[in-house]
Amino acid sequence: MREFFHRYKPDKDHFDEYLNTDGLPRESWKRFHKIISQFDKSDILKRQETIERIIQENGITYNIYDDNLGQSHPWMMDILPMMLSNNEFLWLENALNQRIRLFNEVLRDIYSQRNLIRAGILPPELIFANPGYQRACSQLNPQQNHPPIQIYAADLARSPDGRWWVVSDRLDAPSGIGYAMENRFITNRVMPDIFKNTGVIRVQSFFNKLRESLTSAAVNNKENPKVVLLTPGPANETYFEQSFLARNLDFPLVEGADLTVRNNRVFLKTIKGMEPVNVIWRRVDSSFCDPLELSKDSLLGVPGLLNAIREGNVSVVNGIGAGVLESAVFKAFLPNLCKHLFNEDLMMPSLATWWCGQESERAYVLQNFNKLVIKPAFKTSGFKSVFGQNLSAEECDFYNSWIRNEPTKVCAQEMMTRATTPVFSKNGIESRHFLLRVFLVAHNGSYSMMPGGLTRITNAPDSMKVSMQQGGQSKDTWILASDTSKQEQLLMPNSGPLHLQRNMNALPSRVADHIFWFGRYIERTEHMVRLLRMLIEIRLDENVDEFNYQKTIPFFESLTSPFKFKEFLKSAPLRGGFPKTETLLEEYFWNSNQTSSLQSTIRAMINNAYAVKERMSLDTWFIISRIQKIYQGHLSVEKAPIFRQSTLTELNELLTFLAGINGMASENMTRYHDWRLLDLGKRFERLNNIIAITENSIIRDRPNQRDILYHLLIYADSLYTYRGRYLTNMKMEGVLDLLWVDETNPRSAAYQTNKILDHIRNLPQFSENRPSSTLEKLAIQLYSDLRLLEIDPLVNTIENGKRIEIEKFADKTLSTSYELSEILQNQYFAHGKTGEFNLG
Amino acid sequence: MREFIVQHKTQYSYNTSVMVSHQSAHLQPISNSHQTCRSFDLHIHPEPSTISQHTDFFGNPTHIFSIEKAHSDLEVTALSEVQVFNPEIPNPTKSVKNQEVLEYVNNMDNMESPNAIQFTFPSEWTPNNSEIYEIAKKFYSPRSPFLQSTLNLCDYIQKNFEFTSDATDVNTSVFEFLKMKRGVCQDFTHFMLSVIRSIGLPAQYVSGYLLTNPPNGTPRLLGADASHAYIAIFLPDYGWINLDPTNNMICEDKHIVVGYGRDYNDVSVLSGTVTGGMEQKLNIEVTVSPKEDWNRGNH
Repeated sequence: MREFFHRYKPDKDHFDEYLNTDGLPRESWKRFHKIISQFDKSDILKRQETIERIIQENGITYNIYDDNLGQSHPWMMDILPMMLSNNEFLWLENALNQRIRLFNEVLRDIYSQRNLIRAGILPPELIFANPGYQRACSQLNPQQNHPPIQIYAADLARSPDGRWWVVSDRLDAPSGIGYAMENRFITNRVMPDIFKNTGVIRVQSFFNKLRESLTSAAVNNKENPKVVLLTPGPANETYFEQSFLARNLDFPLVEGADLTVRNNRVFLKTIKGMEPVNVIWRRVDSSFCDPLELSKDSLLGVPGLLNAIREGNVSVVNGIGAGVLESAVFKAFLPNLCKHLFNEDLMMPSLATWWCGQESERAYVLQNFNKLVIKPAFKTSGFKSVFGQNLSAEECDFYNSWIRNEPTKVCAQEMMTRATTPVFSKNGIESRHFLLRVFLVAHNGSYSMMPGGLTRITNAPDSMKVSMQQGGQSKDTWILASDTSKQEQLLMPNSGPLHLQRNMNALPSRVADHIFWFGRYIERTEHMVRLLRMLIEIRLDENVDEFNYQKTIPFFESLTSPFKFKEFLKSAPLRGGFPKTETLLEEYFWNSNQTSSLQSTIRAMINNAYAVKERMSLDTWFIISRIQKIYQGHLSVEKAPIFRQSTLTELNELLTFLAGINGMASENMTRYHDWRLLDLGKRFERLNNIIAITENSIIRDRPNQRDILYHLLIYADSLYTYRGRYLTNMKMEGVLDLLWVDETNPRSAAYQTNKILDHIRNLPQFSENRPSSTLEKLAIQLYSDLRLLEIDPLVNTIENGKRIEIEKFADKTLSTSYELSEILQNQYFAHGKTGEFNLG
Repeated sequence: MREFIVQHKTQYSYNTSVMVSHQSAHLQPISNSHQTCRSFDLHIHPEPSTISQHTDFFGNPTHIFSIEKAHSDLEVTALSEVQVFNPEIPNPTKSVKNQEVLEYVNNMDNMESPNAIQFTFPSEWTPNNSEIYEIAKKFYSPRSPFLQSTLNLCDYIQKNFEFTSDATDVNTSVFEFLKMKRGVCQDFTHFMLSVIRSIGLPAQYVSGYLLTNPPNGTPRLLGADASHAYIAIFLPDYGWINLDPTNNMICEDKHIVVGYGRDYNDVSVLSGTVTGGMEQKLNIEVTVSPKEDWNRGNH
């Protein structure tokens, strides 16, 4: 590695984290440099690859809006860490403590007396013309004892003279803690040797403080408060870390629809009933928190939440409305505010900022246009920051006149030459600009800073813009202990005695819904794979003739529906006198607009999996990310020919993965409600499919009935059992008994109904002592109908060439199954779709 | 001084059951130097699970209530008794000049300025553009008296805009209203506010009622009235004075204020979120009656 570092030559006009102005490693880098120089380049390369593999396997993602890969942009982490000395860390912690105290004071004032406006310290526009100012939050809960800002984050940049500056403050719902933790987990796995010998301070204690901070915010039930993490949902860019944090802190991850306000208190809707909530850690922006009193069109919030806060029944972290101070324009006023409120100088400087609402500042901005970044003064959508120097003369005129017309809406910031840091790449070590995001949490009367952070680097050497949205990378951030012997345990230390328990947190109804549907889609995917595989195999093995064509009909009818298949035949293109069915196959294979295609089914399965990701084991998640990879591969290679051996290989591979998921569920999941619901979903789906496909196969006699039965048995993975019983004597009665009635066959309909009954009797709210519920009655009926089924009349009652008893029985079973599934969903998952009306 | 009884009834019927309903109401008339709300009764059917009252950001009494059992009808009836004082009307031509009002509200040393200044900024429903600003410049020259300018603007609106209920709805913007030149009191009010605020002068949205006279000799009909919207402007040596752009007049003792805000959103009569319900039908009945008529049964 030595020669790798030798070639590193950062520009002299800015600060470099690794080399000082003499081109020698800085103090903070010396220990690490010494260790890493002894490694082979190939070793480091291998470790970098391991990082990427871990990210892939753990499904660490960052959602990029409008990206057609949807919810799965992999996180990126560079193997070289960002390094800070303990002294620098302590200085930052101290300086940021003052800054947060200041924000708290300003928030308290602007949401109550607004003396800062009266005193002329804050221009009224900053509050009254600021879309982030939430009037409904004024005097919301004057008695609340926890500060409005409990969790704080800031993006810092280093100037050429080595000083740190705040580029932006994150006050509303700061993100990044989970990614920083995840980066540290990766470091621990990829380079435990290097990490240990460099003497890095562990971050675990910060995690414990975070948890304590959140639980201490409770007003009621202080001994054992219920804390939930309120997420905007799986489409949010940082959903991954939200689910990561929820899982690691053991707080339920909930969406707005999971919560309800009753009697001015907040409850979590679970399959066991409603559980009171004491603290909400929100990742939903202020304005979306309560459609009753804030943004009325929000679907992410909880109606009535503000009044529950007002009545002192719930705490929300950070305080709703805190985001107002994130507006860039406040940076121009912080030094003055600090002087006025604390009679102290502001320790932590922010990027120099000029507000055009002030006359001399406006004049400065207009004169120094090309040295500045022009920004909206308040957080508004629509207009983005621009670099004055990059503007054409025409654009300059536009911004100039805009500043003159609406000066209060514009501010400008200096263009700072930010420091660089080395980044590992295959071609060597490059220098990149970066931003360091640091995190502080309220703990015991002050704010503790995470000994670490999230360093984000630009995606091109000459770029200044750091954005994970635009494909930037991240780095783990190491704080070097002055005393290298300091080591903390990585596992969560328990702060009290452990109470043995067998039950987990009650399942939120919405999560239960997703688990159920995840189960259904796993099975539906398997069904599709088995069908498609069979149809492709038939075509690959044999030539198309009347005989072969006829035997595919029941299966095409199962792929589409008997009615749809008939419709297709009416206008189907012909080849050699037979319908060209590959167009249909392609449609049900590729077309993601076709709701019952394999692609759509996989997508639905993955979407449901994402929604319950935090409840899934890593191993299960590993399989899902593999399936997703195949699925995305299909989307990128549009419409390759289907009749290939490779398609079969792929389908078989997919089947193996599905078997893997099922195996994980049956071997590794605790037999709790999660597992029951997942399995219920599968059982319903398998019941419906086996009934329908069998019906299509034997409803009428076809010339090649034996072949059809043979393929049906392959579909149901029951051929060997059948042969074991009847050798090659292929008879409808035997097949029907094996696939419908035989309870020992895990593919049979009777087996599914038996399991369904068992699960329903074991769900919460079920009581043995009460008379049977409709739910249980239907399940018993479904089960006994199959158990009591007589095979002979089914096979031998034929009218107009049709086995009408088969049709009758299948119809009845399918409709009972449908009804049962509906009632189940209403009873356990109905979280009530919130219809929003703006009355008056 | 005049005394009024106002009855404001709102009925919703839903085509499927509503399981949970959270509502926020601005129905209780504010008490201030213009008027006193002597009594207020809020009757809600079905019986609400919770009801609480607080004063909102703008000082208006606000009720928040929830209904947590299945229902397919909701009826909210507010009955208020209000004393309205006859205000002393300043001489419009001698009122404070526009330029001086601007200077006054921007000087935070003046007691009322930190409050008045917030009503000088555009809000969601009172945005402006160059067209609106041009109108404002025509009426609000720096040396004209604020009240007179505003009366002139009222007059202009009266002559150039048509009051009609079929042209606009609650989502109509002031820009559309300016194009169509037709609308209801809420449009007149928002437009007026947009113009005044585009200059940076202070003006509030007022939600309230207006006493109307039944045709000669006929009795007052229950529910024949409606909510009304108008404006209030801030005169430094006077305070807030209410004007009705729809009727081109300074409010005296026939206007009853419910509440003040930046625009309709801040004082919407009833707004809420329901779970279930799907489609809804709305029926509103308002009766504004002099107290003596009400007592006599002559609504």
